[in-house]
Amino acid sequence: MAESILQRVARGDQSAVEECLSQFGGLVWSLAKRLSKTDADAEDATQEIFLEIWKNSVKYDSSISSEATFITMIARRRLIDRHRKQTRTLDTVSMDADFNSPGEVEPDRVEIAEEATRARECLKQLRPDERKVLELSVFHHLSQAKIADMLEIPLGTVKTHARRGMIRLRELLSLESVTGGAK
Amino acid sequence: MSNSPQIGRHDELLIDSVLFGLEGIEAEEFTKLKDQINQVNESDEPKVSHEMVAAALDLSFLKIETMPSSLAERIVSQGRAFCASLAAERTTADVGENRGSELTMGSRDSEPPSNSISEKHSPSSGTRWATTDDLENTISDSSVSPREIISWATAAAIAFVAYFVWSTGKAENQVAERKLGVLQSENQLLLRDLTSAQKKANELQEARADATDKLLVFKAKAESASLELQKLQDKLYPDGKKIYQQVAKSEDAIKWTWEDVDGKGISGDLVWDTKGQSGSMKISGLPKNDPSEKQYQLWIIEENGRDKPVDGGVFDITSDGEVYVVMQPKLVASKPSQFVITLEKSGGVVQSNLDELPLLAKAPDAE
Repeated sequence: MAESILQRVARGDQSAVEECLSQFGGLVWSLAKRLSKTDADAEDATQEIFLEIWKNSVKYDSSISSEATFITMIARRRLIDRHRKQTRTLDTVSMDADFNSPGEVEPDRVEIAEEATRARECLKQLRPDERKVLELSVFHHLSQAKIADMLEIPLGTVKTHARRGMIRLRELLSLESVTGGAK
Repeated sequence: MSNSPQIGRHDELLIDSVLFGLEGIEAEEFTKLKDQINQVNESDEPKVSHEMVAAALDLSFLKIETMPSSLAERIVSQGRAFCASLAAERTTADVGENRGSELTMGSRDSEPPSNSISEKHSPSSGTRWATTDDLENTISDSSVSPREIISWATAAAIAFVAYFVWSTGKAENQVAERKLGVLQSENQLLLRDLTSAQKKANELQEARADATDKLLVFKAKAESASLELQKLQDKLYPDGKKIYQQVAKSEDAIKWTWEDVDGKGISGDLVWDTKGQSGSMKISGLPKNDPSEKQYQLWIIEENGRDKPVDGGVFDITSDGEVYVVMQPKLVASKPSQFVITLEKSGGVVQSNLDELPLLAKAPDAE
């Protein structure tokens, strides 16, 4: 099996750095941009995330996740952390414009696109209210309280939907990885 | 598949943490639970973690944009520095190993001498430096004097030590340089954070100063407005007692005592300041009036013989006991000789026929 980009980075292979950037730079940048107020903020976040990626490259295990998922995990962890540290809450101004966008946009990188399709298929199998809560939390990064406000449901129900949705998704994704992904 | 899965508290918090991030009490609770779980079973991590699910979800929603090239360049150089530091660390490790073998070689040199130099220069033993034993051997079959040999050997030994120090030093320097590179880029990020935080702090401070200024302006405005209001209130609803006290303090004020004309137990006095044209009356025992029917009216009678008394304004008695009434003459009362209170029809009259005259006060100095 060919050595992955991250494994090469972990080995100290400098050429892997550029490859990593061209493969996943857009991914990290887009994640960072979505959760940052300004471009300068997003640039800082992106630099921090990549520093984390280099440091964690040695922990990457191709049998557990794809590189795209691994990198997204690192990025999300960092971004949630940054987001929590900054006291401001995200505005929901862009809500209407982006509200229906999840699922319609096709990522342009092959591996990322495969991952995305897989997750999207699984997402379709959730109950609509669970799906909506997950969309609002993961994509729009709204707090539980804001989601409750928007959907006009109690906070407890938001938590329940989020948790059930996540557990169901995990089941579905595990099943997918056992049966070898999308048909 | 169960529709209502029994989620443990740990899983609940885990999901919340990957979706929303945890804070305060929940974050603490989560840390405790994690520790407990780790103690019980060390690697019960499912193959697909909740964090992975959230990441996969994020991927499915994401619209990917291209990173700015200047940022990409910065990150590439940062990544290269990192890779180089890894490579350099490996080199140090190798040098460390070499140093180990060289030291062993040194100790091997202290073994009993063998007979020929060529034997010691076998390829497996690598570079090797002369020992005193060697020197002795060399001495036996060369014409070079022992002193020269010793000085040569000393020089060689010094050169070796210098080379050794230089080579390890160089590798260590390289590692340090790479590490420095990584630290510098981290430092750069921190500095940027600091700068933006400072900028924000400055902005906030400015905003605060601005707000303080505005607050002061508002306060000043509010104070002058409330003074204005007080004046208006005083004008509209004058406080008889307050004015009584104020006027009483004035040097120009004179106190007049009421005479109970009909002997109905009415008493009191008044203070009047001609210069300031202000005064207030203190009255006890004057019966309450029905304002729709009748009202009390004050008259000021001038000493200079003006035949028409000055209208001092109408007022009502609405309570028993001591009351204060502010005097509001319609014309200037330049030298009052008497103050008279009459009961008139509601709204007062222009000229009183003095039918009902319960109170009268004569100028104190006239008595």
